[in-house]
Amino acid sequence: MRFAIMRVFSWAACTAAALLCLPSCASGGKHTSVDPGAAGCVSTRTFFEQQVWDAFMADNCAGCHNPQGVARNTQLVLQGNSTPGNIDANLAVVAKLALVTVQGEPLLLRKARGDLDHGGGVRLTTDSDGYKALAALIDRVQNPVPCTDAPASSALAARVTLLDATTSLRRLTLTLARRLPTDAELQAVATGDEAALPGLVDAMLNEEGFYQRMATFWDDKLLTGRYMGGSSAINLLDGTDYPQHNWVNDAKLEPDDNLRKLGQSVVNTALAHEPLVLLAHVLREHRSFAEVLTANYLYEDPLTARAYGVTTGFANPADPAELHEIQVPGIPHTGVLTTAAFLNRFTTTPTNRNRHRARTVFDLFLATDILKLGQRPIDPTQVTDHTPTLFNADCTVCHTVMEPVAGTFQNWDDKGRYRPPKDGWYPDMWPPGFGQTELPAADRPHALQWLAQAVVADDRFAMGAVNVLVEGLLGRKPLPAPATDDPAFAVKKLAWDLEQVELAAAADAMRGNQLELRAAVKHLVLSPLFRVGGVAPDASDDERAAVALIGGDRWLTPEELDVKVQATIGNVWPRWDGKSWLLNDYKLLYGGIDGDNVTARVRSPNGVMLAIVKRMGNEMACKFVTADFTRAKDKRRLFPLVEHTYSPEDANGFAITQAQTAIRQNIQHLHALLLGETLQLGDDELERTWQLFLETWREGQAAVALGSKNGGEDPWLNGNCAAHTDPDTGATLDDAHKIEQDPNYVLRSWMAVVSYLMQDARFLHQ
Amino acid sequence: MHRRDFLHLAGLTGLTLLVPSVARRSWAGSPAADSTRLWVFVHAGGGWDPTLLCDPKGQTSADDPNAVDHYDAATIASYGNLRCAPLPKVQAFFAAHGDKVLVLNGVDTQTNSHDAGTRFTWSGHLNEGWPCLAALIAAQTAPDRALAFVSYGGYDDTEGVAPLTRLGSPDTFARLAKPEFFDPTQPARFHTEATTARIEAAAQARLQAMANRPMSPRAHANAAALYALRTGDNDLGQLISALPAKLDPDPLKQQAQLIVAGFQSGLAVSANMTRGGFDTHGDHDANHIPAMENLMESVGFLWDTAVSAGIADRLTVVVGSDFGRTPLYNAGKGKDHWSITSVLAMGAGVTGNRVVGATTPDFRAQTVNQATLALDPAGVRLTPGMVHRSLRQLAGLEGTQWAAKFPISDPLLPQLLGG
Repeated sequence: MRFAIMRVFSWAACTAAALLCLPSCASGGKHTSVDPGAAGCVSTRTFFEQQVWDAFMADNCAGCHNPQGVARNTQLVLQGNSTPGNIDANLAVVAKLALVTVQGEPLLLRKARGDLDHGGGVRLTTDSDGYKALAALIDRVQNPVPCTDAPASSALAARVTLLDATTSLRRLTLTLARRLPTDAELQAVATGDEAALPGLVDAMLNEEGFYQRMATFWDDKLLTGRYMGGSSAINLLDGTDYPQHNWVNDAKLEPDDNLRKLGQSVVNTALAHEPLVLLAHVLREHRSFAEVLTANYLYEDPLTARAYGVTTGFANPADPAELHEIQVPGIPHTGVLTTAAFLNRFTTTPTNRNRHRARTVFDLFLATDILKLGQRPIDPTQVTDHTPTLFNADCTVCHTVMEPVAGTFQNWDDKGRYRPPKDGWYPDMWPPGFGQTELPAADRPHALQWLAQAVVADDRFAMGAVNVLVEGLLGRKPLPAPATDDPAFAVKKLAWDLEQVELAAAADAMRGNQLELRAAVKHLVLSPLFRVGGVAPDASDDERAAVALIGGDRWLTPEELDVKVQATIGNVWPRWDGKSWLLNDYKLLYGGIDGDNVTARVRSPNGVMLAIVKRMGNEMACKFVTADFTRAKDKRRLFPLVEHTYSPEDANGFAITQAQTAIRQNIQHLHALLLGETLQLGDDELERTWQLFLETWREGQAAVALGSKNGGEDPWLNGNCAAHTDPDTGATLDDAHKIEQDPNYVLRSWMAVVSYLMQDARFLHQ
Repeated sequence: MHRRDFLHLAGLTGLTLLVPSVARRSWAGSPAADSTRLWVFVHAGGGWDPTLLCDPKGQTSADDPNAVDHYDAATIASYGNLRCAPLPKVQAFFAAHGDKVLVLNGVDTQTNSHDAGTRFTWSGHLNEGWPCLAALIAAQTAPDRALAFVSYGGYDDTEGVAPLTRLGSPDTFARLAKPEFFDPTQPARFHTEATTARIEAAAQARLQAMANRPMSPRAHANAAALYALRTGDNDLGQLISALPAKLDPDPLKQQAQLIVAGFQSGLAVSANMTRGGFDTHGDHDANHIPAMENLMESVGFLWDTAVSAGIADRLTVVVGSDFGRTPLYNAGKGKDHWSITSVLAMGAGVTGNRVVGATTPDFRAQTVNQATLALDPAGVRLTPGMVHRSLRQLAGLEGTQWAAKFPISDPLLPQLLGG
């Protein structure tokens, strides 16, 4: 009876109460009388997930009892939370063992308390909540409870409201294709609404902007930025192996100054970005994403191929746009893994023995954080073995997983050179291989190629790609499985459950399409994870918080903001040399990374970022408001509905109705262009912007009339804001088309408006 | 609508995981009049070896097969109640600052995982989802300051409680300190002062209006965060004036200089310094000793810089690492991961010249009495969680919403920090 009472409470509200209740639940023993339709009836699955798996088994048992763990050869092999469907799989395993008794007692209970030579010793004391929950679960298996429940994720998914199709389209094009929606796309969603989106996404996934975006996503993981400066990447190639590697800087190797100069602008960047160029090639050719790991070639332009000594097969040896798959003789190319950038960025030492490289493979391509396997509480005083990484459970939990893969990197030295070890691999490590399979001796010379085939055949490979996509698309890592002692467990569990469903579906989509990455991308961007636009009005606080954890607008990275600036204004925020401030001087201050010293992004704004935003708004407005007015009206981005001669009031202060209407309409246009807002004339926000324009104009108009010598304003624009050149061609404008003065203060009023909008939350988030 | 009300409204959406902390008190007054406690957390990335620092062991003979260290145990130096390894710059640090330093030895991080150990050391909790202490302090004591938490790495997960900032060179900041001016050295402005104020007022009003618009919970949180920044104290000019004309060439000392400038400006209250190079699985002595010497020299430099800036009386510094390193050398003359470590604390609120906890000669943790802190076989092992309970108490976090939201179950040991 007490059990039945307990069930009327939600899990979130009464975890502690539920655990306290368990002794009587366990001893009750007969649950078949529970009405399955009664409120709060808890299925065995839910009981297992909440009170056994989440409560202790994930942390206390799965560290060893996992497919790679020290207890992998026992009957209790559990799947971690990164494995889709792990709850059902684990319950099946546990339920099977729950029926096994030894001398009249359940095997699981005896093992848990350290009996029967349990290798993990005492995991649960008999008076612990975990032990009692396990006993209750065994009782449930032996005396089935006829309750069913809907997955919590379904309930939360129903509480999420999606962005409308038009707003989604803007987010999709900016995120996937680095541009704003076209008129045709807008028309398609206007007439086809939701149904049009999948087809439009398919088209975006074949644009060059998509390949660039995917390269950016993976570069956050591969961190090739370290080698972008000078000849850093060129110097990664060994001079003995590749005598031509530095031809761009050696007149003896290439006497043509112009060709060397061209090479200097191409080769280092190409070598630094070698893994990303390959990735984009695989996508562009619609090949299986597996080829990112299995490609037995490099994808190079002729200038870069020459650094490897490969000069044949190119129609024009000086054309950096002509790329081909090349093979360097004697080198067993293995996709990104054998690129110089990867092997050096994730280098090794005589004692690290490729473990770092192995960890990276697991992290990037197998959705497995090796370090999490070893994060549970351990006691080092138990470590007395001579080689603990082979024999001590506290160490083997990670090393038995990591070291076989480390061994497959044996042919590549710390400098990324192909140097098979003359004396074989270290005998005091777990032998080279992957999972339960050892590397065949015949495959040693090309061990990484063997590994790559094994990795891409592993179910986790697709999830590895999905995890990288999540970080790129949503601006956050996949949600970690919540800890049960986290006060926000209920909220985080709601969000995590929903996300797991979507990630699993994305990975399945990829697997079902010959590991085509587009399938996963398409699923994710059409899912609530990407399109969340709100929450049901009657949602609980927990549900609202869970939806907030899932996604929605996020602070743009400097690269993403740069894309948006270009897409809307038509130009980067330019330095003196035309390069983007956001991608250079302010990149790190705006939360970006350099792949070297700074490798983690700052994902929320701070005071320095706000200062950057203010300067960006001011400088962009100054530089491009006037410039836009030099264009023909039908060619303007910002001001297609007004002229810079349109003042809102006449000299007597009376409204000029036509001008005011045009100005309001242009403000409406700017809100749509810059913020993606579709607002009707008369909307409060348009009115706020109009007032900004009008008050600025009135103040400025009076100041100009007063004159700068009398403390007022000058009719001449500051030189930085005047338009002397064609914004599209760079050609000097003739006097008739130059705009150097602003006698009626309209230009400066528009500058205030554009500056305001470019500092807006909706411009800075997406 | 007032700032507090707006943020509260955003908070009511259930977004306390994301919305910056609601101002509980506004910071008013000049930096000189500021009495807020300042914190620096210095991370030795990779897992340091306390036997080369504050828990020295040494060797009794050159052929000692169980030598924990390769230096002679007879050369271990003492400064008051503190002992340290015979490394010149480590000794110099303890000689100069030992009176301010509390050494916690035998701290058990309960893990050999870099990520988990780093997280435990700086959040007080082994699991994911707990913010670093520096972020909690920023959220609690300086929610109005836009640069409250400055970080150069280590464990700087904020869980959304406070914004995280990186500070750069003085040259970079000049233009940012005066975003309203074409050239920060010239008087010409993009907009008139009135227009600048008008833009700001419109921006703030629009953000407030967003609170009542149907948007995603995260969008509401984002608007609230931006509003908090726009209405907070963000005068980078104060930072510019506090920045040194020239930064030290040593990267770690640079971090110290920029952090002290942030403190001096009144914009920052907590910071993470970090230095890697401690994960010395191979050739331990050759690689680890220079890293340790640079670390402690830089901590001394940090303190001296704070003294020069006139803020040392408010400054608390905590130094720690992922975990420790094994008692014995491996075949490659390296040392591997070991969950027993040490933590140093110094400065305001810390009684120096004290050692709490200890390890055995073979570098295993000894237990301490929870009441007296004396070694006690029936006592408990020190953990990062216990250290954090005391640090939280010192920072005024115990009993706050933050302590409730991110609880630490380890016991609070009385007088661990002295005080």
